[in-house]
Amino acid sequence: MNGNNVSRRRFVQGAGLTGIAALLAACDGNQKPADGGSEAPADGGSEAAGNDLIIGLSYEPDTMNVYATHLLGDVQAMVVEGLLVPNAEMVYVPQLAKEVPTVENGLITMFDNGTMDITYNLREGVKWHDGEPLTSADVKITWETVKASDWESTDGCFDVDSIDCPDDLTVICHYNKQTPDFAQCLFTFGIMPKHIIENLDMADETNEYDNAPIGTGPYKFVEWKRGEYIRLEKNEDYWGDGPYMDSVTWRFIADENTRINMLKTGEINFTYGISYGNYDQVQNIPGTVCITHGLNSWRYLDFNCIKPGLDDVAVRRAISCAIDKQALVDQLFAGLPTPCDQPWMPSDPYHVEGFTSQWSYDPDKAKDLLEQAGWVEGADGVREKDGVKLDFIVGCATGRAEMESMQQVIIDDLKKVGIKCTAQTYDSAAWSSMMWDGEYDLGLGGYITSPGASRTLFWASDPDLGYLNRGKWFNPAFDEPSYKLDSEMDEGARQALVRECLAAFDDTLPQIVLYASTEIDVVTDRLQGFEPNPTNMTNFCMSAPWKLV
Amino acid sequence: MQFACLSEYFLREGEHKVLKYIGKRTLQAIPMLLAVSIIIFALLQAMPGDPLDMYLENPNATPEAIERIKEAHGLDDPIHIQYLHWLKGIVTGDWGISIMSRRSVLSLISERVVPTLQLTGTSFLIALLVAVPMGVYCAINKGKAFDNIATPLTFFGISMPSFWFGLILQLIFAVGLGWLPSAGRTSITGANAGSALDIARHLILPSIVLSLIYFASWTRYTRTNFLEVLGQDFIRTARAKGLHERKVLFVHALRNALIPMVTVIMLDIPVIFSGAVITERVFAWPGMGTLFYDSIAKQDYPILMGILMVNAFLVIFANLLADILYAVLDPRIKY
Repeated sequence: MNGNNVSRRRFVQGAGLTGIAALLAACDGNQKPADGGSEAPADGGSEAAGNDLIIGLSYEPDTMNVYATHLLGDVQAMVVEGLLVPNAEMVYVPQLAKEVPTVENGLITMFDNGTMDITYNLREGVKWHDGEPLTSADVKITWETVKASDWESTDGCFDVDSIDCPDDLTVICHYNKQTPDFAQCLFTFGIMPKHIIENLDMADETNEYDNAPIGTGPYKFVEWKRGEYIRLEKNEDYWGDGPYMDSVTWRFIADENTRINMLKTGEINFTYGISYGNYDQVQNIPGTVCITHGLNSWRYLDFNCIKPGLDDVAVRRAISCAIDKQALVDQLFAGLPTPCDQPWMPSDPYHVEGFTSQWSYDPDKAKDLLEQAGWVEGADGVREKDGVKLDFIVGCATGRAEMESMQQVIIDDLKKVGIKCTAQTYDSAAWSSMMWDGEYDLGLGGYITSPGASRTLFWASDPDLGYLNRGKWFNPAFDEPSYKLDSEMDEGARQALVRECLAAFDDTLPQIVLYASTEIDVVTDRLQGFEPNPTNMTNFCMSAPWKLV
Repeated sequence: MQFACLSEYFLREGEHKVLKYIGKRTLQAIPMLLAVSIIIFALLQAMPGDPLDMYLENPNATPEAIERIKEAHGLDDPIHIQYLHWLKGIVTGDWGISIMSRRSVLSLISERVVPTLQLTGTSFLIALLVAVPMGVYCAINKGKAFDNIATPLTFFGISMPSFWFGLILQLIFAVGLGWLPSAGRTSITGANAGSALDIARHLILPSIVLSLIYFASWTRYTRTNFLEVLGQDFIRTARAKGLHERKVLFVHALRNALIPMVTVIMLDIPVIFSGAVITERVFAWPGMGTLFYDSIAKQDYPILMGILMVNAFLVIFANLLADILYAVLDPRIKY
């Protein structure tokens, strides 16, 4: 699970935007009316026409290796395919496998000793981009290579003890535990070609594969012009429906306003991850459509639960009651993101419908909670108890306008109930190490996760399992159902366990979930078949059927 | 500068003496670069956070894996050992490995050299070709309409934030008029994509933005210097002996007015390199500025060290060049 990838991705994109958004309104005055006449493409009309998709990407990938990258594998998703893939509804569907293994279809066998076997039947006739056939040996070497690596995403590798390949198209994975989340990373991120990687030193990331991967996807890697673009071309031998476009080129355009200008000129005809502040700018660009969709990603206000003041559950509840999420979203972000009270987003099949926090916006209740817990207002209007003042720092990483604007609103909301806060921003690496070391009070940040019910990683008491539990929130009422969820295969039981986890979460609040993020995509109106994907496998993991008409 | 001047200078000073001077200054540059590298290295280490914090956020990176990466990059060694290790690498041509992309710093930097030179070189030329004639013209026509318009214009240029000006130019010339591409170094599709002409078209807007700051200050300098020279005795003498005004202005006055300009312009060379960070970002130009910006965000020390050392070298080299050119242009200066 790529816990915090969104922060890095957003940082790359957001860092340069400080201050630019405000100026954009000024630029707008110089703009010609957005009619077809002003749309003369800058390069003689050639860029937007034809059968080529040109995507404006806010950053440059670090490596094309899907397991080694520190970023989301947007570009890679068109080149490299996995056995399964999460679709737009966040449900896993077969990609290189013929079917999704389940207990019902007999492809998952559970054993009494707490282990299981998963069998994948590979699709017939799948060829690598160099013409070699895909076989079970490729799947096996992928597991071996990822397991032996120090790459970013090795999730799930250590749950597999061994893999058998009885024939070229059958893979049997022997798991050392029962895990319903087997598809979250390993084999979903991608399969690597044995005939290529067995001859390479994969620990050396200058290796050929990491820079020019051979995949099975609808588009073949052609060229990586450093600092400029990555070019992909149609895979004529693709196993499935499509591809229909001649080429896909990813241009690295860090500045969001530049990307918007390039959409207007037709130098790019697809971009995504536009910030909320620029929504008005991109709604009516001729020749494009603006699509907003929910992401499996949320923004949070995290509590350092061992910090004096915040270690009192009444204070955390009061903070939750003091923050008006709806007003925050409406005022700052034009109502685009969806306020949310639970760490299962509305796009998620595990989202608990109709759930509202007991500590929803109610400033009077916030004050009552604080009074009852003995926090009384001092002369300066700040509540205190036994010499501890409710005086905190709200921290976030610099260059992320979204977070920085929220700081101010939260400070205002909390001031009204007698809690003083000060805004601080830190450069992203420093901020992440501060959170890591517990040197923070209140932290603003975001997560994007793979589809899956478990939130063990985020809040389990066991530090080996609750790796991201930086606020030291320990709650057995959460741990118990959460650990069960990690091995429960029955869907009905899983839904019930999610509710139990949520109840414990909402009871003593390790963090406040503020809202579910909304992604803003702007794509050419000639593109058909594009279905936004809310998961960390990105919009591009099922791009074979896309057509330019 | 005129080649005749250079040979004249060699004759005047004796080739041997000149080369000795250059040699001496080059040797002096070495301790300077060493000192600079120690300071930069220490400052980068003092920055809060470290590059492996990226891994710390990653639930899948085990402590053992992080330890392995630290060891591979020598991040566990005491700072002076790390520095000596780095120094040895720099001298032997191994500039280290980027922590994030794990590619060699030397190749990362070298693939940015050509685009950087294209952009900074063009901007430099534009600034020079516009600033000097404009400064001279303003000086000759001091107080007249053109001078009165040019002066506020140059201040406008100095105070213009480049990211804002860049976006405005994109809106006018790319979005509005459709004459030029908005950003990038080449087109993606079309018959001309990647040709020299294509790159030249993409160069126009960013190099105008980048040249603007220098054009503005250089115009001011040229104008002031020229005015100062025009008031001097030898100009009166030249005029008195009946020389054609054009010869007075462009031979006698101009050459003398340009001497202080040499220092100003030379010392701006490294500034142009670093000043390109914002412009390159706005125009998605694949130069060293973009690489630098990305590396700061990721705290990728080896790349930062590499780029900063290139910059330090440029500062020292430009100083040396300025001093030599100074002597070439001004016979009164001897070393």
